[in-house]
Amino acid sequence: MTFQTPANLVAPTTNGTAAPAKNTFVLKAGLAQNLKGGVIMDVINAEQARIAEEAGACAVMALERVPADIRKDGGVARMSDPKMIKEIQAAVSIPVMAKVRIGHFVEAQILESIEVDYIDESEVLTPADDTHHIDKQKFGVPFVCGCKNLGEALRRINEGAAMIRTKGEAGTGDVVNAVRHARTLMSEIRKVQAMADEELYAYAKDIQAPYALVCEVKKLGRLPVVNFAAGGVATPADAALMMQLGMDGVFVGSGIFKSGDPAKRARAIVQAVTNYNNPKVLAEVSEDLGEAMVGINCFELKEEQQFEKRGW
Amino acid sequence: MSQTTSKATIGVVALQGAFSEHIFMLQRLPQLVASTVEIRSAQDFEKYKDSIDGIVLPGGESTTMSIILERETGLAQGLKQWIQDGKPIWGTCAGLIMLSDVITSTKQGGQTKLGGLRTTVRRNAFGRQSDSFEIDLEIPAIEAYGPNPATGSLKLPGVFIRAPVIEAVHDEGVQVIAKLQGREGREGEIVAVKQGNVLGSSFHPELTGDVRFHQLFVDICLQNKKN
Repeated sequence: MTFQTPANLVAPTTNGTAAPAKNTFVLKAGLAQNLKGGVIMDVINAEQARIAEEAGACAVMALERVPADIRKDGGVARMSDPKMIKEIQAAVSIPVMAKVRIGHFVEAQILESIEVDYIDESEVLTPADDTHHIDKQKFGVPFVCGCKNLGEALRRINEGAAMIRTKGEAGTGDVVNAVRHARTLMSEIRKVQAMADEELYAYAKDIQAPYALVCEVKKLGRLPVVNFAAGGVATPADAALMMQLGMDGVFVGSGIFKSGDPAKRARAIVQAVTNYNNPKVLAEVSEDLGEAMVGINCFELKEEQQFEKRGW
Repeated sequence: MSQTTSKATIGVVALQGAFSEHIFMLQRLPQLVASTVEIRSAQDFEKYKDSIDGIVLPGGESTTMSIILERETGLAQGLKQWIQDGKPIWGTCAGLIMLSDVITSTKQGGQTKLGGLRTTVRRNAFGRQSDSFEIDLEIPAIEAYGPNPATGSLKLPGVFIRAPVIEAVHDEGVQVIAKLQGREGREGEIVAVKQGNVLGSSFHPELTGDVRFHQLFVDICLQNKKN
């Protein structure tokens, strides 16, 4: 049996006191640990959220337009209408996440005030700050952030992110970038594990990551928080591929509700993530799913159309 | 041989959620636990059911798990039979919800369950993630294992994430082993119970550094194995 050291196995900070502690990192990262092995689905209204919940989604991401439409429409993409998010919160019993623009801490304050369960500081929306990300340590609500490699993941964790995801090209249906990011991340983690302690200082400098977090990665043999795949996942096979590459779970954006039979595809992707190592089950659930979303080949995207370039 | 027979083999249901954390915690008890196995399907269950001494139903999203179990009918049947046979099983958070005979605050249309634990459990009883909290719990059942080495306290760190509570136990066969204390206006809720070999907790010992609650469950498994 393979065994991965889970993240954040540390004693909580309450230390014998009677009063409850809220918004601690254990709670933030712990919610993500409970989402592992699950599928988080993009939804744009309460009806879609119900379909996702019935299909077995472990959480939903509430947003006004799925990435495929953001890509098509162009212009500036912003935080969703709080009213729409509240309707989705009322419709389902699973956690509800929502996106804010990179660096837009006021959008985050707004989402925190309506009690979303997780905030995605997302490159899919138009960045509001071209230098700084949100100081996520200051918030009680947990954050998930995207990364292309280990350095970017650790910078986000240092800012307070309690969950990480790959930064595949959302809204394309092309999984190639998510695969590249997952492979890069896993390979850099293996590299850190093989390094001598004194090499970690120089490596931390190279990848522009805090030294303490690089040491933590060496100790754990994985990121210190849960790490999902995201961007371009369109089929059960894509989802299982990301799981076999070592991701803890999968975000599916446009892939479900831009396809022919969303309910069926959503169920199939949930089953694929549970049974990612079982090709027989994967074959069964891949049958007769109807049309997949129309894909855009990532290699045909112009540089300014690549979401992964957003974030610093 | 006697070495391995005096230790337990534990199956962890690995459909979704914090299952690797449970496996990690169980592996920190090498003097009691011989090995752990992941159970994802009816085939896994058939393969391991005669060699395991207890089953852990981890935390995660209970709606997700119940929907997966609706499809995995063989596994659901196997687990129900396991519970009916009175064999050791422990549900944390979502796992507790799955075990409870009555569940309130479910998704629209309700959710399927395994049942067997004679309790009424309310999902998301404290609210959304912003209402999640950590608090130290007084649990006499684990005090025999000594204090938590990290804090020196006999209390168990309780991690409650969008947690359920046990609103009611249906008869005296269900023993209350932990209640909430120290939360203003919200005191005395039941957060852990034991009914024969069935253990249920609304908090997450697997997200702490304290292995004593796992030790309590493994002891139940070993005791059952002996008898």
